[in-house]
Amino acid sequence: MHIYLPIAEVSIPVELFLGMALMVGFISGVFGVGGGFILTPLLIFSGIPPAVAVATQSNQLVASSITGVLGHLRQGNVDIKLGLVMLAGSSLGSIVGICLFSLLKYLGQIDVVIAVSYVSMLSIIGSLMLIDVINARLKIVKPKEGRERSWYRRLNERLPYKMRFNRSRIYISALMPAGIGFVGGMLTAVMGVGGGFILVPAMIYMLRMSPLMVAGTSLFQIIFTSAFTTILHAIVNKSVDMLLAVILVVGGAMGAQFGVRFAKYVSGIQARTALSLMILAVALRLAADLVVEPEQIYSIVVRG
Amino acid sequence: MIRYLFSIVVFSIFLLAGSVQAQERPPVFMLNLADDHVAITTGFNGTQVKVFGTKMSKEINPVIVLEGPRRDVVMRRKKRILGIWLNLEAMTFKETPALYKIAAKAGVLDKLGEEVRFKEELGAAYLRLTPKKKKLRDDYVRFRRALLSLKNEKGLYSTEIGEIKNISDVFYKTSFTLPANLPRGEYTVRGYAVVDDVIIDQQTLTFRVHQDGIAADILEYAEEKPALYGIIGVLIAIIVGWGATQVLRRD
Repeated sequence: MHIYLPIAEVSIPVELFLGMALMVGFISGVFGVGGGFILTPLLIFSGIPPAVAVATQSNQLVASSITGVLGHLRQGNVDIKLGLVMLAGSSLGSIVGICLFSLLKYLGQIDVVIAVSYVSMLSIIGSLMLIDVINARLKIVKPKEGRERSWYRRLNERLPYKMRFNRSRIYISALMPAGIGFVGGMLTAVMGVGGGFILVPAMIYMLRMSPLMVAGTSLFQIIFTSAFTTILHAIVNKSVDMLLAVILVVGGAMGAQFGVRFAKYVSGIQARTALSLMILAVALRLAADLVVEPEQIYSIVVRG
Repeated sequence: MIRYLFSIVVFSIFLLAGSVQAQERPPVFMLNLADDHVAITTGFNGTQVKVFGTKMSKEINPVIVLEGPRRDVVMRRKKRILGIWLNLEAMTFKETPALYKIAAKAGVLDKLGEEVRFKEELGAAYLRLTPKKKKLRDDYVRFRRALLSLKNEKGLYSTEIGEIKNISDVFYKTSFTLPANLPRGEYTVRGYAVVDDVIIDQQTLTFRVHQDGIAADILEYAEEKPALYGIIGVLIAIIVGWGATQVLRRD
């Protein structure tokens, strides 16, 4: 069944997109991450204009984070005070990101920037995952990190506005989580990703939080950031396609449920190998599209 | 010269005849549309615009032009830099019609001559397409050609001249095919009455192309109340996301 998407201005087969969302939701259910950064490129491959894909994806992100947040809140894994500080940073980051997005759109460069950002990000993540998996298969154990002060700890000691975050049992400058949030906000606005893959390691290593608190607090942050970004995208760029969003949300939510159930049966190493290879394949495809001579070098944009 | 005088004479006779028995004679030239609007519904796949009318005699040849709303259009050209294809060059064309189609009997337009065709913009290739800023002639020619070609590919401009059927000496009709990716807005239909190589009369009609159904409501909200639209989107996401967990938990 084909539906005409009013904002994307293309006609799509509903089943294909439902299926994509199901698959990606499933993946995120099994691994706990993934979703945004796989779904957005898939949307772009399927003919959705990148600007609409990013904006609509941030809407979908709200739905996929909701289940996780509710669960974590109930178990008390969310450091609300820290989360709010991060939100202050990410709101600013979203605003800056959206302005950048609009500027690039006006200049006609937004598609390329989104593609390049994804290629870099996906190749880095995919490679890191692959290396991780190879190490695990070869049973190589990384030596423990030395006790010297890393750059971020030295930075942390210099920064002002130190606050006590009792839930996470850390005493750090508020500027650090705010800064991390800022980066996350920008990524959500420009690329339509949740930013979990940056937030989680940053919170564990730079803020020295326990992984459990990180899981809940990062989800808390992502959900509010993506909601805020969605609204901003709708107001500033008018590129959120509600019809597409609903299709993706429904597929993604169902897929995630199946994924979570299926997680028990999946061998960790095999699954991570498959995922890292898939991520690298997507990165390669995006890069190829950038480099190959396009069929049509001219394009029309109607103004006003 | 003689031909020109002949057409003037013919025209004057028509005019006299028309004024003497104004109530009983049909006007020199009349234009009509079968529908005054086109509604794009969710399953829209293109449609036809039917134009018909009357003309005083068989010497009069109608030329009908269908134009979509005029907007500024930016043409971009990709170039390869450091291995990547980027949009590097651009040219803005002012007041470009979103859609352009023309219908006339064979040979009528050629007889009118280039000057008239450019002045009245009769034919996609005869559109003025003024650039917003001054550009080099070579660049202008390249971008202009690309614009006409792209519009042609999308089915929005037609290089072909449509057919005009004479139902009788005084009735004529024609129809234009509108593609599925029809731009919304106000469209104009310009009808010209041509005798030999002179335009003796002209009439313009308008009709609206608008979206209907759910897609239209969504679009309207997105454009006019974007904050509300965004908030609703977020709420829907929350409800469906939460709902899905509840539904599947029952398993």
